[in-house]
Order: sequence, then C-alpha cells, then structure tokens
Amino acid sequence: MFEWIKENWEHVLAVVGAAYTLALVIVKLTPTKKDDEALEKVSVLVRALAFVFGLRIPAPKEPPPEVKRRVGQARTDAVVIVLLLTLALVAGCASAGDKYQASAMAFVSVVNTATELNKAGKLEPGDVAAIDAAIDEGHAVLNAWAEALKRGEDYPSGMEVVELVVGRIRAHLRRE
Amino acid sequence: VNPATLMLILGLIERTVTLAPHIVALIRRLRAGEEITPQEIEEAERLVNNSVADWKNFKDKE
Repeated sequence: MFEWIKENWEHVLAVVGAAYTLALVIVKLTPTKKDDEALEKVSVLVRALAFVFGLRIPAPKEPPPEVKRRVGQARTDAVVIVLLLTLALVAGCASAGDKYQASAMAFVSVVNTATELNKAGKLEPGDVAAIDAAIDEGHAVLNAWAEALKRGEDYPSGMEVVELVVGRIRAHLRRE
Repeated sequence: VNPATLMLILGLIERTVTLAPHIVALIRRLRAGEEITPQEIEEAERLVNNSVADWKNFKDKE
C-alpha cells in the first residue's frame, strides 16, 4: 500500500489537494465555527502528508481579527492550496525555467479566481480596475520572461515581480 | 448555498482541476531533475494568455 502511494504520490497529493480545496470552500461558506476547526485539523494532516512526500507547505497565516473576511476572500482560499504548493516548489526550484513555470501557475491560479469572482459579481469596480492593472503588469513580465528563456537567457527579477503582482491581486480579493 | 454560489464553486473547482495536471508535471520534472523544454514554456505561456484573455473578455463585456 505504502509502495503504491510512494509511486503515485503526485496523484495522491493532487486528489487530496482537490478534496481539501472543495472542503475549504464549503466550510468557508457556512457560518459555524465547528467545521472550520475540523478542517484546520485536516489541513495539518494535508501538510504532514505533503512533508512526507518531500514538499513543505507552510501553514496559512491567520488574518488579524480586525480584518473582516468577505465572501470573496473565502473564495480566494479555494486556490490557497495551489498557491502554497507552487510557492513550496518555488522555494526548492533551481533553474530559471522552474521558477518561470511555477510563477506562471501561481499567476494563472489567482487570475482565474479573480475572473470567477468578477463573473459572480463579487468585486467592486475599483477592485476590478486595480486587478486589471496588476494582471497587465504580470502578463507583460511573464511574456518577457518566456521570451528570454526561449533565447536561453534568464530573467532575474521575474519571480519577485510576479510574486508582488499575485500579492496585489489577492489583496483586492479581500475587504478590510 | 444558493445557485450563484454553487456556480462559483463549480467554476473554481473546474479551474483548479484544469491546473492540477500542470502542477503534477512540474513536481515530476523537478524530482527527475529535468530542465524545462521549449514546449513546456509554450504550454505555460498558453495557460497565462488564456487566463488573461478570459479575465479581459468578461471585464470588457461589463
């Protein structure tokens, strides 16, 4: 059994991550605290499982109590597992190509979430404009980075810029 | 859970599931110590472009 898991760990992690993501969204939509606490215990198990198979997923940071989370922030958490996985990979990445691919996926993940929230009418016009500007910036950097890689060159500040852009987009998906 | 919320959840799940194979491929490549190929760069570019286009298309309709 363990051997099978070891051989197929990527798929196990993907399935566990997907199930966790689904549970996270549903739990965040409900007002009770009990299921939040139950899920927190599960998230510890997910992180432990990831650690066993060679990935270090940091625990999500709790927002300060004065910050009220809105529906949009709860939905944003749906991609946290993907982002954390990607960031964990970035920390262990060696080559420029690895960093590009991981950064591109983190960017795609947060843009997809913003799109779904916008389609659901959960974003304010001001947030949409700010997110749009950040998306343009991230898109331009990722395009330039990909072109540099194709020429066999590095794009040294690419990861830092994309991380900042992703952070800015996420900041507009929450209401303070 | 109202229908709009359900649609939102389903949309997010669909997008996460779409992205998952690419993450799995990256993990495998990292573990194997292989370099990214030009095809993989182009595939990542395609994902980024599609994602941005989807955002722009909806935003411009508003």
